[in-house]
Amino acid sequence: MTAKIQTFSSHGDRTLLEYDPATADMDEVNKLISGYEARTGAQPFDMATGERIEKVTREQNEVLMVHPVAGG
Amino acid sequence: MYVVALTLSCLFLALMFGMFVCSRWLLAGEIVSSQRREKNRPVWGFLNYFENNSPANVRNQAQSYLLRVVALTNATDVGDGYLLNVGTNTFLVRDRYVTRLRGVTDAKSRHEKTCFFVPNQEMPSAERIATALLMLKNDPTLFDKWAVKNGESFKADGQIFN
Repeated sequence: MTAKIQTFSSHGDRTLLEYDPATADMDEVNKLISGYEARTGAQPFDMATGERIEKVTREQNEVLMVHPVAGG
Repeated sequence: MYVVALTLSCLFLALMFGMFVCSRWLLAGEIVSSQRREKNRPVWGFLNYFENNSPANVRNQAQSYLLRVVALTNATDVGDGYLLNVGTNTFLVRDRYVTRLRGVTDAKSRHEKTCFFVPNQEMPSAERIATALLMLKNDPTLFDKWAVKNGESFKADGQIFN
């Protein structure tokens, strides 16, 4: 089983990270997500429920990093 | 002399192509370049790259992702947009703008319409709509923030991103 962290881009959806949720170091996964959020402002959503999540756990197999949106 | 010039031209073109591919990855802010590790990937990987990133393929991917998000948020396709019910609010989400059809009276602002945009202007419209649907479903007050704070970027948790 593979879990994916994805995001939207000009090329359609892009996989940022793939890992085995059974064996992956989830602290490391969350550290990478935090770093990505710090750079881009994108925050993780669980694609099984459509809800924003604070931290990724082994239960989530597909996470979408949603980029900030500006008004106009 | 001619052969040397030809070789140098080829090397220059290869270098330019490499820089183009790398810059696309870097601009996308990729954490790990593990994009689409496919089984049975052909040796001529660059052809595969162009196939995966062809406009038609990107549009199809974006459209299928939007359909998933529409299902997750219980939105309804009404032809010229997507109706989204969140609490007492009903939004009509279209590409780059949102109309609040219901919920104006108890909202923080009286705005009925707002534009929205994502920093990546080249993102397919289906993914822009999917982004707005996910964000509004989780936090409908973002509508008022988009309407009032013109040009400010908001993260999904409602915080301003600079």
